[in-house]
Amino acid sequence: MSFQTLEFLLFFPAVFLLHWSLPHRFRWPLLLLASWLFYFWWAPWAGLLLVGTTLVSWLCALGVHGQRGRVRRFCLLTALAVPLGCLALFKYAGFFASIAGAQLSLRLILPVGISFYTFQTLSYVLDVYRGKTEPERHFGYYALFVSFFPQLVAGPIERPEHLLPQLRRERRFSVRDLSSGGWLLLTGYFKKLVVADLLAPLVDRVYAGPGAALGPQIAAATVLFGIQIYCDFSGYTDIARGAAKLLGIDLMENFHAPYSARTIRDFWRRWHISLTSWFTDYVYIPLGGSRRGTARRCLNIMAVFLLSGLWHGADWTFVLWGGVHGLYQIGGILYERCCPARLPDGRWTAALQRLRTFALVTFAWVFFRAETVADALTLLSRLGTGWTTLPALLGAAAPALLPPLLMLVCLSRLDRLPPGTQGRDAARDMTVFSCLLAIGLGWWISLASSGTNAFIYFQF
Amino acid sequence: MADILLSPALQWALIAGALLFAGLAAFGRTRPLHWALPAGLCTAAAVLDALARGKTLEQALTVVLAVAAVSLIGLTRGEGGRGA
Repeated sequence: MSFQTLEFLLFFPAVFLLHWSLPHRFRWPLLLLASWLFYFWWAPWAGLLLVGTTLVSWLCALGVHGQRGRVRRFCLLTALAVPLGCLALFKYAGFFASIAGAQLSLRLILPVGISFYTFQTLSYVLDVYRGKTEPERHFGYYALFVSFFPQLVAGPIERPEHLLPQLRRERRFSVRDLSSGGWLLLTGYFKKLVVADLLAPLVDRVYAGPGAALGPQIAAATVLFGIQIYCDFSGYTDIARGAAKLLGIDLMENFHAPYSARTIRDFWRRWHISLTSWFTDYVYIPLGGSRRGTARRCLNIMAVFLLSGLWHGADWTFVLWGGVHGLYQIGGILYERCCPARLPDGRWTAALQRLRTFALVTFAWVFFRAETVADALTLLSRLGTGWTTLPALLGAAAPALLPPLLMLVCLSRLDRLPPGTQGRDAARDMTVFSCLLAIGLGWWISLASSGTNAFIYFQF
Repeated sequence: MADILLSPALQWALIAGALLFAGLAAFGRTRPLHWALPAGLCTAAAVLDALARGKTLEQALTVVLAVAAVSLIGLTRGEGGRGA
């Protein structure tokens, strides 16, 4: 079941009403059943894999906490090997076989959200092993922590110390949660259904035929893809956070105005925050972080970014995308060491830094979006062609580009509207709410005949 | 009468009216919400007019987007970003 389907529009209100009408002790079974139904709806066999992974990691974490010596080590290794083994089998078997020169006759379907819930179970087991968190003795709460439906298939990747206490705590209905949750839901649907889905065909047209695309088209399509993927993924996160908020649960923030970042390091503090912090805590710091000299720090950064690229997809394009970001970060560190003198801090410096970061991030999106490395290289090699036809291209593309540009303006302003619950704020919110709802519904109706696109991050 | 209804002047007048009233509602110092009503009516009329001229719903909704953009710019003047 996906957030933009009719099934979810019927499913969620039913869960919401039941959740708030039941006493606290019946809420976890309701949410767990709802979460499993949400996931089993997509593919029952994948649901069994989710339940199996949950059971193994729960039992092993209890073993890690309660046992000593070899048994403890065995429990830890099992808890890491089972989810990672499933991930490797379903996501990476074909990729690694192709590297080894072999051809797999069996093509496995990738269970949706496996990368997300695998990382969530790993963080739980590792936190229990480090003594950072107590193991959850109640299987129901733990299963709900892994499977909680708003964040199950595309994050945010939650941490046990943040989500588990909230699931246990008795939640009370509040108008404030209703208002801010509804606001997040609507913002998310607006980003996904209105902006991302409208930009998708414009981007697809260029990336489907890299050999025929001209420089201005490639540049425009890549910039639009940067907006599309942001709206798609942060839209999903907003819907997830909004749905959770309506159930009285706070999910972590996953995006914080990433395109206003002034450096690449700043960008990664704002983009997919839950994944970045996961890699920082469980890969970068254990590798030594920045404590073992500049060379080792650069090596650690590159390792993290290559792994992050591979996490996104079993293809060289994603590895290259990660590698490019790793090079950006290393370049930034070396530049800071060589030229410690800073530019005067001002509005124009900030604007130029933001523009530079946006350009670098956009350049890397070419690798992320291209079907193959050869396609990405073709697109980059053609980037310098056809700029003399720019005025004619702009004239032809204006009707198609005007709505996305207007949406961009709306979007940049939408994030500045804090949800209010009283007085004039409430009236203001209701006005904007109604306006957005009208646009969203209109778009949805018009797209219903052609069908909407799945969320990009579902494939990861 | 039919000439007036189908003239491009009416289409542009409706769009201009929608943007003007949205601007008055959103940019006013006290944010007078009574301008929102004519803005909404002009927007709805512009959308219906565009549909009557055989435009697609996406094309017609561009007017709504333009009104939304003007309203949001007005409503968020001076507000600090809370992050996306």
